[in-house]
Amino acid sequence: MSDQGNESNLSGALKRFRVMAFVSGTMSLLLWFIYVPIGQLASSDLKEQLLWIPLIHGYTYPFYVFTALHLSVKARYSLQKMIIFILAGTLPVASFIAERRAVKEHM
Amino acid sequence: MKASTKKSDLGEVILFAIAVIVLSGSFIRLGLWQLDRAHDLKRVQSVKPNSTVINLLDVAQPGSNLSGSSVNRIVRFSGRYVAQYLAPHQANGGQTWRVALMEIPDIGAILVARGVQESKTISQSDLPSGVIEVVGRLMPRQFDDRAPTTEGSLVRIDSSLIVGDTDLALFDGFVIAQSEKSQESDSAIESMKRIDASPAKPTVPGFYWQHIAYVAIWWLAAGVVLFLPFYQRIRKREQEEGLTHE
Repeated sequence: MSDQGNESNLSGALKRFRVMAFVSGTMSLLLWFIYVPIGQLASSDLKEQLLWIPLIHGYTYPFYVFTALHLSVKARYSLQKMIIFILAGTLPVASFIAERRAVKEHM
Repeated sequence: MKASTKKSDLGEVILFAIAVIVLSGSFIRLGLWQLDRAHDLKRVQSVKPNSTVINLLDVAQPGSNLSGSSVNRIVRFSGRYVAQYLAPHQANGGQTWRVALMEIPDIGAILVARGVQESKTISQSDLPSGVIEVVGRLMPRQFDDRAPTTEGSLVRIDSSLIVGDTDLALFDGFVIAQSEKSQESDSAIESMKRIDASPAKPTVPGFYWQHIAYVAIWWLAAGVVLFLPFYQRIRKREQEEGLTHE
């Protein structure tokens, strides 16, 4: 494949990763700082009303993993870096940091 | 020299392969566990709360955990009451419930929430004597304390709290009595206000699709772990090719 083709592939992978890093990071923030403390402190009724948070987080994370994997393969990241990018989706702020790092490297 | 390098390479490959197999196997197992929880939840939710009355021993045994599918079933059993407690600060506006321990001959004993207690004290002589048949809804044990510890009262309705009071094998969970009948006089016992036995919420936490999402995550993680050795090999080959070209 030509260099131009590779670049456009990488740019597409980066765009998808950025979107999913934002969505996954936001859902992680909601999960860790809203749902988990409320689950411990507030009534079970309120916890039930917020059950959509872990549900959406659960469904967005696999997509985040796919995009992180795709970007890592396209950008020829090392094994360690790939694993760090994948795990970044599990922590509240880490996916935002990973997104900034990827943008800095490829844009 | 070459032979020892080859040996250490082989050792590394074997260790790496074991790590990949263990990790991916663990992730697959965790996915299967979540799948089981999803199926448990579906089974619990599919139980019709007001379905036919069944024998208690068909769905529960003393000394073993109450299964998710047993919760909310309407059960029938008979035995003799052997002890009585108060359970303050229960649902329905902080009611105090009268809870009694019923011995089922040759089987064990189960806690029965008999009704709403109006006065503040309770006497063991209030217990009906003789063989009593109970029909009621089977509930999971309560996990959170609702009242301070006082003599003769239960901080929550949980048979593990009375293990020291009896030698009988205890059932997990308890029954909210809907009716009691004395087998000797063949008459119903209607001396107190019954508790509203609304179905308990599922004991398996979460949504069905939430567990399915976790199944997807764990299996995806297993897939990633299985993919990593191939990725590492591709990366190595690319680096070697790059060095050759240079």
